[in-house]
Amino acid sequence: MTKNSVHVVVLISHLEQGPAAAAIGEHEALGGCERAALQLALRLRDQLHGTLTALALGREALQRPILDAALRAGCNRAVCLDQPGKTDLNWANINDLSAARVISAALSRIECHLLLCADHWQDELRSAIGAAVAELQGIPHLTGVVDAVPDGPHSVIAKHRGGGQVHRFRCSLPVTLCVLASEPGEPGEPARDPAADPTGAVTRASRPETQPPGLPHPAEIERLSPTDLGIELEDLNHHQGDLIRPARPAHKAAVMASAADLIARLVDDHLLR
Amino acid sequence: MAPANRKGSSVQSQLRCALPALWYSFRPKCCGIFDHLSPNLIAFTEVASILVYIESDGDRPTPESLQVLGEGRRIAMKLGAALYGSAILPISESEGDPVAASPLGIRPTPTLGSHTRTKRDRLVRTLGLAGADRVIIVPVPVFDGPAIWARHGPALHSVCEHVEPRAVLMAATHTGRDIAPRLAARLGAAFVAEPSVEYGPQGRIILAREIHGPAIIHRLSLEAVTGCAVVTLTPGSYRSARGSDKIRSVLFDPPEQSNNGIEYLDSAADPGADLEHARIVAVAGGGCDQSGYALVGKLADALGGQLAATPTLAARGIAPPDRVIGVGARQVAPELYLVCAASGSREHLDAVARDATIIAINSDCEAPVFHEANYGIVDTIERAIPAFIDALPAARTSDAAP
Repeated sequence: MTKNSVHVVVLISHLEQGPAAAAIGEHEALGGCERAALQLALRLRDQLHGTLTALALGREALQRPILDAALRAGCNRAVCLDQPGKTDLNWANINDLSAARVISAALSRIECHLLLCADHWQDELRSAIGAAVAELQGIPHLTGVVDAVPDGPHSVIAKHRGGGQVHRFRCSLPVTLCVLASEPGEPGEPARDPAADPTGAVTRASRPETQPPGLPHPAEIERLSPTDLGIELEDLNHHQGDLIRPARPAHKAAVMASAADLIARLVDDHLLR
Repeated sequence: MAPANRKGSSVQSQLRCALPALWYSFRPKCCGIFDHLSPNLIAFTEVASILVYIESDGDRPTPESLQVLGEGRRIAMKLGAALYGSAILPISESEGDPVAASPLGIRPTPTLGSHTRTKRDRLVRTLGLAGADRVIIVPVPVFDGPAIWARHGPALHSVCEHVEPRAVLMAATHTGRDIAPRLAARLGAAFVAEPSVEYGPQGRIILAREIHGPAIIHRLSLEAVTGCAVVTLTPGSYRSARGSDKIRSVLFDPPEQSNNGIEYLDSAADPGADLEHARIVAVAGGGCDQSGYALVGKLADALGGQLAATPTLAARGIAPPDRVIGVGARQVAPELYLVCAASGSREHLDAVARDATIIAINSDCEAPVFHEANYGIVDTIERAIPAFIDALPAARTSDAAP
């Protein structure tokens, strides 16, 4: 790996249509962790003098707007992993390990020294994909990452939050970092780091419909299918178990007439003493 | 997952499915033979097992791990399975003697020094009293920094290969969240993050997990899982169990440590960590400006609670990132959660424990937050918060109060 050849890949995905998307209701195209991962990826790409590829798994029609926006935000390449002609394929139903297989195969094809992805995904809340991809790639991973900076051309120093502390690790490349929805910056500083998103491009990538008019058309989005990568769709496993929608009684907060009434209720409930 | 020498696996699997209760009744008779023998023997003598990964601080298991062990006890009883606790025990070079041969001569096994033996015995006894049938101790060289996959994962995977558990349970701490998904991938197992455990008839175990609030629930029957399931359980949601200190332990050969590419450097205090243990949290939402954020801070101070912000407010640069409550940012489990001028998005409220009492202060009576809150005040924060502070009783609550 030479100084100028660090290939950074950021994994982003527009939430697939399905029960989870319906449950969230109105939401941005990218989750909080994905926004943080994209912002961190752009900064690390610049600092490492490398290239940055945005990779999205899912139906191309759904992923195209965020990949377009990622290119406009500064990514050098954008790759969509989808199976052409399979309009009935809902990637939201593919389980984590199978999704990780497809992503891992794509990474082997496009080359990756530093993979950044969301610690939590919009449709499942918990981390899974990043660690699974790292396992399939045979490279180390670190979850709970709140920031990272280059440490020479072959490693990064990542901050990992957990257990009431922020721990620093030196991670040799290649590595997978699963990023929390905490915008890079020193603790106690304002969240927005103007240097990291000077044009608001990451924010716009989260809301691709808000792209300002007149922008030059970004580079073409490349497509890779599982079949291209030697993976048969029949070999991809679906989530086990059932998704159910329990009947929920309509809930509405008890609206209190005054602050004094509310405090009296909280004292009665032993929530205030 | 099954290694090449696992000749008994198919018989095991059949027995595991067909006769778990019968097996369990005979299990105690053969307990004694395991002590200090090679873990390779374990697989041939066990039928069904649940394995709990124990996080510990030296010889003291963490409370979160004991809670998971308690739930593991209940699951094991329901399935008629044996419950293993597996703990990683750091040993210093002066404590261990790495040249002693293992019973089967496969690889050198560390022989523990007296100080480490005392720690091991205390750890084993504690886990036995908390419900474990058997304890597997994996001695590894002392390391600095937190436990993450790079430190504990390969050893835990090696234990799983030998025990072939039906399920691996661990607390959803930052350590568990780092280890569990990768362990699942390595085992080719199903990964279930922070479900509630439901007990059905005929030994049925259901792992039910809310997806973005209670609107959608993913239900997975453990018996429907092919192979193993790796499950993280939410800390604070389960009770510990009671067992016996008359249990056996196995000293497991640790796998070779290799340079895994991750080197610990140092640690510093997390400035937002107090939010995670706060009894009262007042959170400022996207409807606040700088002065509104300060006003919510006064409310938090008046209640002896902690000030936090929604992701929306932080994205506008008004609140620091370490105070953000949200999915993927920071999760909290307070008793009282005051939501000030926030709409109540799933990205925000899914990070708040379900049993928190939520109070909404919002001028829009149609805001979604009123469908999630227990109590509400329909007013601007500029009017509601000063009125609330003025009306607080003289003896106000605080986190420091007994």
